[in-house]
Amino acid sequence: MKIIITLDEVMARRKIRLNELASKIDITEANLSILKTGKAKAVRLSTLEALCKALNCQPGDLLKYQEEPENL
Amino acid sequence: MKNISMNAKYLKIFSLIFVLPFIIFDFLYSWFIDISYNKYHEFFVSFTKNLGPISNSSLFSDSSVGWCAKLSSMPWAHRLLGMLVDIVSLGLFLWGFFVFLSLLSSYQKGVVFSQESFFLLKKLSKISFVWVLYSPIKDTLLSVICTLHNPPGQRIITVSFSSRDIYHIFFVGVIFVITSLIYEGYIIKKEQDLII
Repeated sequence: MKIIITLDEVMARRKIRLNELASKIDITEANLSILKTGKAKAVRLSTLEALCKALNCQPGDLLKYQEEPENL
Repeated sequence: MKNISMNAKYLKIFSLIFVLPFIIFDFLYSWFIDISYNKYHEFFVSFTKNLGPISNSSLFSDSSVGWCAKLSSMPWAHRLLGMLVDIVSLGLFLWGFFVFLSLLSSYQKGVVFSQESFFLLKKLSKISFVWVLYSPIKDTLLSVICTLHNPPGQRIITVSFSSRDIYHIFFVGVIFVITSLIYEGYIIKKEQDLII
């Protein structure tokens, strides 16, 4: 089971840069980068809400579930 | 966090002003200023005289405590050898002391549960462990070195494990427990940092 954060795709579609988004949702660029590169272990609902508000999207646009192939 | 920084700052100032000079002075006083031992010796003799028959027991014998009393009569080679044995202990203490100071510096910056502070504490616990183990060995070696110049029959070898060593072992154990706590804190902090 894998949850993929598609923040970079949404950002590219909205043509918004990392520093711009970081200042909009009031979190550090470093933290946003962790989120963007998929290194984050969890996302706070407040962060998700701020991201949705700033990018004008739904939580489902930012998160994707991908099933991992079973080991043979 | 502000509280930790303040405490670290005051402890660092206290350590630098009082602990470090005292430790170095104590070493120099022991090996270079003969009068200290003479005074100590005189005090000891007068103390044991007042004890009457008990003063003859091995517990209060002149040699068991005052074996370094006559520093001036020690040959320089023996004195240097004694200093060398003592300086290992001092070196270990100073190493641990400076590791502790760097730990305080990182606390002063507000960095508590970090990899750096965990490594510093781990280093400190290992150094203190070696220092504690070396302490009774040092006492034994010093008892031999300090009485080596005496005529046969008056040379002493002491093997001791006192309550002081028990206290030291207890404190080293406390440092080990704190190290493992800091490690757990560091793991939690690392995980917390990845929650955005």
